[in-house]
Amino acid sequence: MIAMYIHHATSISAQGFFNALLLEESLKKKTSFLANEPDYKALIPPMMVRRMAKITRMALMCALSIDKDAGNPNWSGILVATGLGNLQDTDKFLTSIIESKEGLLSPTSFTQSSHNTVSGNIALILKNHNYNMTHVQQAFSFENTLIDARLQLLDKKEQLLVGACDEYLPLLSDIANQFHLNTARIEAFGEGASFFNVSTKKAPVGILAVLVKHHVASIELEIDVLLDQNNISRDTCFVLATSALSEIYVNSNMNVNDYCGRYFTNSAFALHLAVSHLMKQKKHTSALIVNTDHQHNLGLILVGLE
Amino acid sequence: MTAVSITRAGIVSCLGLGLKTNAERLLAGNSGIKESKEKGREGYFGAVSFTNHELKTALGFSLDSVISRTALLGLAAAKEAWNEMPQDENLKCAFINASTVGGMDLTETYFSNLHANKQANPSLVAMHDLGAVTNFIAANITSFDYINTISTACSSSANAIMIGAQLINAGMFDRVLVGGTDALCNFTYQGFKSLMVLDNDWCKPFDVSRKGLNLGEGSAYFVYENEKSRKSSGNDVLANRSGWANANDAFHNTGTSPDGIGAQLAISKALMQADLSPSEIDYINAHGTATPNNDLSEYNAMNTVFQKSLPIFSSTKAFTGHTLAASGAIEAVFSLIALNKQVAFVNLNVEEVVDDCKAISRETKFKHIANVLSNSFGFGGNCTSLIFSEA
Repeated sequence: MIAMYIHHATSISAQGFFNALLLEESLKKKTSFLANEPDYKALIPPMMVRRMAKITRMALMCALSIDKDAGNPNWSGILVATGLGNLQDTDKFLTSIIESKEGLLSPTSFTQSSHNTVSGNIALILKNHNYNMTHVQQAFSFENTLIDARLQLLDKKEQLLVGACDEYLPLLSDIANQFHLNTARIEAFGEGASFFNVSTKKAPVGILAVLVKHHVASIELEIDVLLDQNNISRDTCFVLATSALSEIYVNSNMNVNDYCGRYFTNSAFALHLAVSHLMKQKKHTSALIVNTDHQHNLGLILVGLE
Repeated sequence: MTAVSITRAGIVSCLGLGLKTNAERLLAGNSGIKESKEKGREGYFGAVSFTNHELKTALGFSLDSVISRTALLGLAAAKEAWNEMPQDENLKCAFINASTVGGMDLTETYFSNLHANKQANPSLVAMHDLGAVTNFIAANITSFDYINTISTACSSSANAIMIGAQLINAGMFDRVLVGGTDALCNFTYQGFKSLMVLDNDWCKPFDVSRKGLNLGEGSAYFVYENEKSRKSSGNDVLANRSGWANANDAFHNTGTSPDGIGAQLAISKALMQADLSPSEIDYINAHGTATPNNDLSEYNAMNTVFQKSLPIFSSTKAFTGHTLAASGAIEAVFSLIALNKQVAFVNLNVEEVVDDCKAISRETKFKHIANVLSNSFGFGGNCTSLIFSEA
């Protein structure tokens, strides 16, 4: 039984702005992964956009598009994942502390540097007084957000706005270089935002299971167990692989990193692609997003057709 | 029935290391806030008295290891909560942590070195992100099946406590460690200073002449166990978590609405969840940061929900300072102490209260306490209320 249905999805990534569940756009493999940002003014006043960090404007655009498509409902929860939060504002405030010495600082970048700036901003703009949460657990922030979404649906909440976002800063590449991370991997650093309309009301595609496990001995075994539990055979399952920093350790049909780049919450973009793929073709009746990191931690999101 | 059992707790604040010391100083009305004359950091702070060296030594790390103070404070309290917990491989264990600054104390050093010398040691930023701090604490406690970090500004650990209870309730885990940690750092000091919400003197929550908050640091954790886990551990139940709710003020990014809409909603929803009427709450541990705005909207929210039955309430921020992400967990542990010792803590430094309100706690008051409400509010309009009930 599907408990969490996906009614709409939006994403901003190196691929551009996707504002539909079923993607007509053909995906292109990329070599640089800065977000290809849309014209925001359709939904966000230009004055606001100018003051916003990239992570906030990407996330807001995705969230407000979902809200518009859904007819501006009273969301019973707004749940956001971010691996690193508002890096640009953090960098800005740290730099202003050093450069200003003892002078009076502008509080804007400090207040915007909070990890829950995005979820708070969405609530503020939508005048939403309900559940509002931000999950920050490196590469598994989005999977954890989906687990929270499941908890909230169990708690009788009905319709949730669920999303993920991370932004790129050149400083990330500098630091990764200092750690002697593989150059190709550093060049693949990306950014993006993806949001979903999730509810218990039926839709063609839904999330069957979400699993986060630490220090797993065999990824393949974990996948087999999960597919078995859901009576799914591997050949009908479309496997999408993501990894923010490490190698990809699994045989997959699609390496999502090639399309949106490496960032902590790119499994949310993978979920958008998975939903679209299931709706487009007949061969696969389910999709599995396999998210791994260098410490043998594992995130699995299993998506199925109703 | 939503009650979830709490069996263990651990805490580090400027009141000291451990549950016992914190309880003694709370009952004695003995604040941990001290004046700092350090250049560029003048003012009143609730700083934990142990240095990083002392914490590393006590926790068994070499002095040259690069560990954020946030992680050290967190591990100290998490160890107290998990101390001598019998391992049982048949139990599923989770850790829900909370923080806002993470390894910012080390990132600041990285940035200033980078600006001064054009180079800096990258290992200083290896623990920058909040998840890295959580991973460090987890790795030094036990092999958890599931790890997560919540960051919703000053309500972060209250939310970790709420989600942990839901994980137990949903039957997903048997034993869950919940709480949060934040260390004092220049980033938050300069940030709150730039917002002009710091009091240059000892803070006065709920006093009409209050000027702002004092920053503090610390961490607190407790352990939820279901029946299966309690059978295995033999732990007694310290208290039950009976109500929890999160709501959003949706008024301003950092300021609170005058009526405290978010706070009203969080409190009423938590009461509903616990199936309690307002008159059944015996003590409120308020968020009470001592900023003019926060205390007014919280007071208005409490008055709206409780009306004539507003119980005795106090903010303990004048004991600890505002410990940001840790404050919800520190005050949750204080709520456990209130239930355990049957006491409402004194609201230090209060002289005159708005409306001449009689419910404010002017002294350490021993009385029957069956249910405690604890409030935590943060930037982004994030409001969380938790209810703790006697075992």
